[in-house]
Amino acid sequence: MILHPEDFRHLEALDELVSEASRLDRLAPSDIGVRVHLEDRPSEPIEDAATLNRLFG
Amino acid sequence: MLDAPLGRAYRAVAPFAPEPPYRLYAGADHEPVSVPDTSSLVRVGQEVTALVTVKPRPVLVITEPSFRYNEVLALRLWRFGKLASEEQEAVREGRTEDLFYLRPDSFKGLEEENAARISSSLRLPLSAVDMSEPLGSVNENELRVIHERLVRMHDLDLRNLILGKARDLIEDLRSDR
Repeated sequence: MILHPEDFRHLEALDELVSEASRLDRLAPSDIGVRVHLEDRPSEPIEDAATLNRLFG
Repeated sequence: MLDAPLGRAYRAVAPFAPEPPYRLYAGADHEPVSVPDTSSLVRVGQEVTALVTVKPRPVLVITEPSFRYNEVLALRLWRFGKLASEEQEAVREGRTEDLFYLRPDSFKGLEEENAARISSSLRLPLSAVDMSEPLGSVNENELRVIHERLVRMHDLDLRNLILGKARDLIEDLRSDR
């Protein structure tokens, strides 16, 4: 395919524009967000058969 | 107004991602088998049933259900009661981009103020979401902000997508002339 020089320049300009527009600032986790993330762990899941049967049986 | 379940908060059964040591189900009459590390499990290469902790918790649905799999992407929430008062203030004022403040007047089904955690997206089958009781919803603009933050949180490269769309638009404009 042969491109007209003017079309080629337009495509190049578009490419640069899009590259600029796509450059997003990465979201840095906040201190609070990090703490929350680390805190959200399994704590004491119920694993006692009698309790589970009472709740769901 | 967004079409449910998009943008709504519901209670759902959310799993914690399994990580070592893995506890493998070994039948009703046996204790679970413990596998200490990932490479041991991967090396065997067989499907097993791992015991995974799940927690019924509110989540915010942020995508339409996928057509083929009937799954949604959702964010876990975090209760304000688990934040210090200065942390609560920071979230309310929008100073924490990774914790999106859910306005209480839009989330009357939640017992207290909450934030949606941008870093905690999870895929859920719709069958794991209790849609009988919506707890509140974000509006279109809020959802757009959440999507933008999700893209930035994961540093997704949208360049090809935007470039392709821009080229299509230019092509359409040219053909209209």
